[in-house]
Amino acid sequence: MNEHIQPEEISAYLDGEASNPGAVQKHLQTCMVCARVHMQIAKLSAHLGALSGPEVSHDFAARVLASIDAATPSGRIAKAWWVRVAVPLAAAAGVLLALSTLVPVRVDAPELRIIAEVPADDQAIKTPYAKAADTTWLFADDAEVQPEPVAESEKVLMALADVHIFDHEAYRLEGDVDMQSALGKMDESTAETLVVLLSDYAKEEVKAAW
Amino acid sequence: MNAPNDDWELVFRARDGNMAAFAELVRRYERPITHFCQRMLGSRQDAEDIAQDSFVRVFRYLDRLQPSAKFSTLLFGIARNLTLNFIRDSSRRGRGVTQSLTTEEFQEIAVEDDLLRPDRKARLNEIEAMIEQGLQLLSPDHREVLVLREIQGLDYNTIADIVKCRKGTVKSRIARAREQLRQHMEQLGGESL
Ligand SMILES: [Zn+2]
Repeated sequence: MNEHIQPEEISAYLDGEASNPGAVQKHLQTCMVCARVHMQIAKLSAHLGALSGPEVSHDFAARVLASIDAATPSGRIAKAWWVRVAVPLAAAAGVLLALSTLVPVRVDAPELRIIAEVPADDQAIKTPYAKAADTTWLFADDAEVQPEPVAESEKVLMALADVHIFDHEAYRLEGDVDMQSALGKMDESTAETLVVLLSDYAKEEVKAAW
Repeated sequence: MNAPNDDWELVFRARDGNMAAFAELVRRYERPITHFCQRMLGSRQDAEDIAQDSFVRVFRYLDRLQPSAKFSTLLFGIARNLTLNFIRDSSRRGRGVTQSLTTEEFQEIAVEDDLLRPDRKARLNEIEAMIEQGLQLLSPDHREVLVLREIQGLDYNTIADIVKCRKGTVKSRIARAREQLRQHMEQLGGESL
């Protein structure tokens, strides 16, 4: 009878990494000792492979991006996250009018949903602020209430960036948006302030763009 | 929008300041990286912190990354360095990374569990718990290659790139890690695997 296969080689065989898989296979068919080693490794391997992975926090990516933003002095990120969030949000003034009325009623109207439509071309994604008009916001509800005029929007937006919960939600606002849940997690006054400020910010941006 | 399939394309966009592209990279790898860290550290919370730090660091290196390797290999390499640093710092501070039990403590629990839950599903849960404990009993050198192979399903060449050693070393470490884990399992639960 041939010599036994080294356990290291059987281990590699199981991983599809044996230097001579044919020889290992042939030996395993005839040698109970090595077949048993192979079976032990395979069983252990199956158990390891079955270990369940963690569910990562829903705001994992948002927290990474917030850390990056906080640590990035300048340069790479052209504008602070709140600008990138604000402008797509602000893309249509009417949307913001509707948004401003959404917050006070959000508790009573859980069916209200806002759906963000992702811009059709990549360029718009790359520079959302430059092509804000490509971003369309659809509302389940329409409203015609005027927002409160608020000055110094940028300054207050920056202050909002320090609000912990909003920080975490910021990138979710940018991507696949469930605005209502994002707003729902903010305290009432933060959300209201945000909405009003965004509408104000939008007007300034639109003016600047024209 | 057409989501790019290629990681490097996302990297290049992120390099140009496109944070949505970077966010996509994070979403793509948040689970595997966190899982890797969790198996290395034995702690869910530490794992997520280290995993997030890995992405923050890879962002810092964006300009210097070369698409000569797979992006995921570079990312795992960073996560691996951070977990090893964490393990080293933890032992220097005189505490284990995990609240890991000694073999004897764990044996007691395993015996109790056997009496309480003799059914098969419970037994499987128990084996899973034993595997988790057993992994923590391995040296980091052995644990990392085994986790990368068994949990991440990576091939030996990729693992060698991540842990920066020769392929032959990966091969022998994996075999040794398996044998040690099997022995730990026998000690822990009495099951001959
Ligand atoms: Zn044999």
